[in-house]
Amino acid sequence: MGEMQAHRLVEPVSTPEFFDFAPPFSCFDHIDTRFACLSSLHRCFSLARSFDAQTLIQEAIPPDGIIVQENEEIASLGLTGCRHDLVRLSFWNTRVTVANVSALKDENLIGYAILKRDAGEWEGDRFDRWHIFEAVFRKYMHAHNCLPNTGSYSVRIANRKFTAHGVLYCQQNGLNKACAHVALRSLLSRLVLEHDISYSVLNTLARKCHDKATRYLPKNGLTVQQIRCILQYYKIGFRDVDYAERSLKEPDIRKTYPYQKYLYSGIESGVGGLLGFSMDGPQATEGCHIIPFYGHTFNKDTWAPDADASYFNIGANVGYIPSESWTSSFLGHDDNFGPNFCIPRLYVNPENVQYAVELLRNGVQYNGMVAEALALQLLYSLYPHLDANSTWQKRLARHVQEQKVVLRAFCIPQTQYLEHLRLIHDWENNTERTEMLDTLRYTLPPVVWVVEFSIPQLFPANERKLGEIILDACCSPYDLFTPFIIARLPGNYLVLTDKKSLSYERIASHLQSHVEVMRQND
Amino acid sequence: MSVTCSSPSQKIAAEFRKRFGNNQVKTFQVKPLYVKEVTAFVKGIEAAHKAAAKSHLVFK
Repeated sequence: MGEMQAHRLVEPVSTPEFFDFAPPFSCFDHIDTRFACLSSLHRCFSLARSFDAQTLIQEAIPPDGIIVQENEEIASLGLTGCRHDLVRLSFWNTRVTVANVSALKDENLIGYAILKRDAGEWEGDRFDRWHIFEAVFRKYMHAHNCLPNTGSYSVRIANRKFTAHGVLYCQQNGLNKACAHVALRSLLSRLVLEHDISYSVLNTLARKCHDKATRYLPKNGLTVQQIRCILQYYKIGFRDVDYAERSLKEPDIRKTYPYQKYLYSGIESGVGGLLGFSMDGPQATEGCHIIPFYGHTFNKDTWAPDADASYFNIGANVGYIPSESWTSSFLGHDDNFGPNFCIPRLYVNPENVQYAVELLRNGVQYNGMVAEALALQLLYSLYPHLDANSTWQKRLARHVQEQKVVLRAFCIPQTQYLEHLRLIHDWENNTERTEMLDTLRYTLPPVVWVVEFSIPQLFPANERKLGEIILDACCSPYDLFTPFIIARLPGNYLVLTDKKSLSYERIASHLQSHVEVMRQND
Repeated sequence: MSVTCSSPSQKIAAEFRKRFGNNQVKTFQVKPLYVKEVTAFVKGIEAAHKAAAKSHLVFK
C-alpha cells in the first residue's frame, strides 16, 4: 500500500486568504464566525499565539483520499442530504502575503489544521457540525519537552508542499468515529509506513470483532477487544491492562502495575501509549474516555526522587528509582479539547483509570516494566562482582546495595543504540573504540531494550548515567537470563558466556566514567 | 565473520577474543538474586495482559 497523504496534498479550490495574526485580529471572532464556535479550534489558535504566529493562511480544499472514504462511510451509516466542507488552516511565524508566499520554508510552518463540516439529516434530526479532521503542531523548543520519534507529515499549502513536524491530532465527529478511533489514528499514523490510517479500515476491523447480537455503530466507540484487533492488524505490539477486570483477582493492581509506567515506557520508546479512564462530575458518561500520549516533560529539580514516594517496588525487598520520577507531565491530545496538552503525570486519579496500553515495536515480546525488572535483577546479582579498582563502579555498587539506583528503559533499533554509543563521551572525554562498535554491530539483534542506570545525584541535574544493560527485545522474558546481551559499566562490558553456570566475562571499555544519557528529541 | 556459539552475548565474547586475544577477557560466576520476585513480577504483567481480553470497557 502506498502513502495515504492525498488528503493533505490536495490542491485548494479557493484562492488562499492571508490574515495578519497581529492585533486587532481576533481568534475568537474568526472561530465564532467561520467555524461555529468550535471549541477545540481555540487550542490550535492558542498554540499558534504561543509560537508568535504572524500569519494565518486559510484555503478551501476538496475531499481526497481518506476523507472521500469517510464521506462515503458517513452516507452509508445514514447521514442523508450530506454536505461536507473542508478548510485548511496554516499558521506561520513570518508575515506572509501573495507577494512573498513562494519564499516560505518548512521552518516557518508552526502547524496546520484541516477542518471538516458534516451536515445533513441524522437519526431524524438536523446535523451540522464542524470538527478538526486533523492538526499537526510543532512541539515547544524547550530541551526538557521530550518528544521521542516526532512524526513528519507532508502538507500542501498555497500550492506548495511543506513538511509539518509533530504528532497528528484528530477529533471525533459523532458519526463514524469516537475518541478511541481518533486516539489510535494519532499514534498509529507515526508508526505505519503509509503515514496514516483510514477510519473506514478501522471500522471494518472493529465490525469484524463486534458482538454479533447488536449492530456495530462507530459513534458508540470501541471496546478493548476492537482496539486489540486494530493494533494486531497493523502489527503493533502492545501490553495492556484492564484495571477493573484485573482488580477482581489482584486488588492492588493499580499500585503493583501503575498506569504511568505503561505510558512512560511507550513514550520513551517512541511509540506512545493510551489511557482509558472514567470521568467524575456533571459531564460523566457511562462509557470511558481514551486519549493518546506521545511525550513528556522533564524537571531536574523535582524533589520526589529523594522521597519514598518515588521508589518503585518489585516484590517485598526489591526496588529502584524509575527515571519517570523526574517527569512532571505527559504530552498528549484530548480530542474534546485539542492538541499538545501537558497532562500532569499523577493528575488522573488511579481509581478513575480503567485501561492502559503501552505500544511496542513490531516483534517486541515484553514491555518496559519487564525490561527494568530484568535489568534490576542483573544489577543486584552483579554488584558484589563490580570492579573495586574503579571509582565509579564502587559508587555504583554502593547505590545498588542501598537499592538507590535509577533505571530508564526504552526500546529502539540497534542502529540507534550504536550511534549513541559512538557519540557519547565520558567525563575525561574518552570515546568508545571502533572495534567494539564493529563487534556489537555484527552481534546485536535488530531491536533492543536499553536500560540505562544511574544514581540520583548524577541523573537529573547532569543528565548522565553510569552505563546500560542491553536486552534482546524479541525473545521471551520468562527465563530471566535469556534476553540479556551485554552490560556496559564504567571501564568494562559484561557478557554472559554460560547461562547454566551464570558465567560472565568482563571486557575492557574505553569509557571509564559517566556519560550522557540518550536523548531522543528530534 | 564466523562464530560458532548461539547467543548474542556469547558471540560478542567470541568476537572480542578473536580481535583482542584472551588476555582482555576475564571470567567470573554470579549467584542470581531476587529471581523469585522478578519472575512473579514479569508473570503478573503477562497475566494482566491476558485478562484484558475479557474486558467489558467501551471508549466513546
